[in-house]
Amino acid sequence: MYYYVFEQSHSNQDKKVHDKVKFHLEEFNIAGEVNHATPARSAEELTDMGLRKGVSTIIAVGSDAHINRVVDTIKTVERSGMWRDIVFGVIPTDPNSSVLERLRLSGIEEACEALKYRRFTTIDLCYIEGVRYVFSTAEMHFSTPTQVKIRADRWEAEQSITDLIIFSDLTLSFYSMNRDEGKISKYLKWVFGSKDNDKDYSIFRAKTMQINSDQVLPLFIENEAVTKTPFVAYKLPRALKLIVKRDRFISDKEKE
Amino acid sequence: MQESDVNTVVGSSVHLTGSLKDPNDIIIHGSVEGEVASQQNVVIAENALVKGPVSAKCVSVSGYVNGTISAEDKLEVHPSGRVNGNIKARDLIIHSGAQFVGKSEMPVDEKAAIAPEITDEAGSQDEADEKTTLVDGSAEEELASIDIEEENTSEVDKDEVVEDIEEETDNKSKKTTEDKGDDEIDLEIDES
Repeated sequence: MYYYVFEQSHSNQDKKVHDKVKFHLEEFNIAGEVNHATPARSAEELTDMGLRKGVSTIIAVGSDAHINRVVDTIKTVERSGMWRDIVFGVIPTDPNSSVLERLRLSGIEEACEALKYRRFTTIDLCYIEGVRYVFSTAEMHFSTPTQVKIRADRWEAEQSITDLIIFSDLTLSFYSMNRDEGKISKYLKWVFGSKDNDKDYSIFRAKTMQINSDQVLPLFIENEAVTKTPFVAYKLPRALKLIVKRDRFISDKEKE
Repeated sequence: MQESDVNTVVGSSVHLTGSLKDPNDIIIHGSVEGEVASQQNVVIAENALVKGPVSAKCVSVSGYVNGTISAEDKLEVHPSGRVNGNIKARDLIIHSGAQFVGKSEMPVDEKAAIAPEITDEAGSQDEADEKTTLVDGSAEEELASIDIEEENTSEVDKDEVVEDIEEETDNKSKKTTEDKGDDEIDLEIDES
């Protein structure tokens, strides 16, 4: 039986979306135990209750931030050693959700359909030491280029950046954009198609990463400040069983 | 996000110290002080700087490299490229305008080095010999069987011929005795 954890409704629009989700769950005959987060019962508490009941599949319904919170609770409880091998599913309700894009889902209906077939894969997760498990991304943004020290498995780099993104498989990308650049300079780059911006973009992958800085800088997960520099991030390989779309793994050859 | 197929990219303003290893492509626009290793391609872009050994399947140099370069397949030094160190590559391209100070080594497969045509021919010759011996053997066997058959048939024929001859001689002798008998009878009658 599926155990659904809905995000708290903040408006009528949210309620309509939740009703739509419930309609599709009944349509696909995958209705299970539905729980709505409230100010009295948070998503974390509902998830913890579900795990204590012994459910094997937990579905998070809501925004990316809500999905992150449910994943964090599952992994924290799993870490205590009481429950193992929980299968996790998602129904992102935000049309601009990065999770929706990542799972190549077109919307709520397709997400519900994916749950019907219960095809799952095991994915990597990022763990910010002592803070939070990251299912989507952890980010740092600055208005002016800021000096940051990055120490990874076998290398270290010092760099002025404006944007830094840590993905769940501990792929790190950072960018240094001069936001104070003059309008004429921007216009000339646009006219002549300068590719200088591409050269300022860096991507690295590592198993462990430490980020340090002279100033204290915040790290955000879905617009929520979760920690500050210095912090250490780990890659947890094959850490979460995630239900995915049925044709997600169809290769190009099979398509032909 | 699962970005397993994403390459490693060192931005133009990045100065990286240490060992940079990635099974996928590595693209360097900035500076790297240390080892750079990939199982695929390493691209050292224009204005990029690498101080340390570089090893990959294919290496493309448009910037500056101070260290040994080991390319499993191909090394290409573009006109803006500068290499100060020894290089080892199976396929080497140095464009006009590029700078290279060091020794170059081109490892060649021993099999390929020993005149591939000869080895091919030798192989084909051996195969041909095998084929001919097979053909000869089968031909000999065929010929032998034919001889045996011929011998058998000749023996049979001879026996039959001998028997025929014997029968014929017997018949002839019988006929002659009969003829002789008739004649004798006739003679006896005449005498009487």
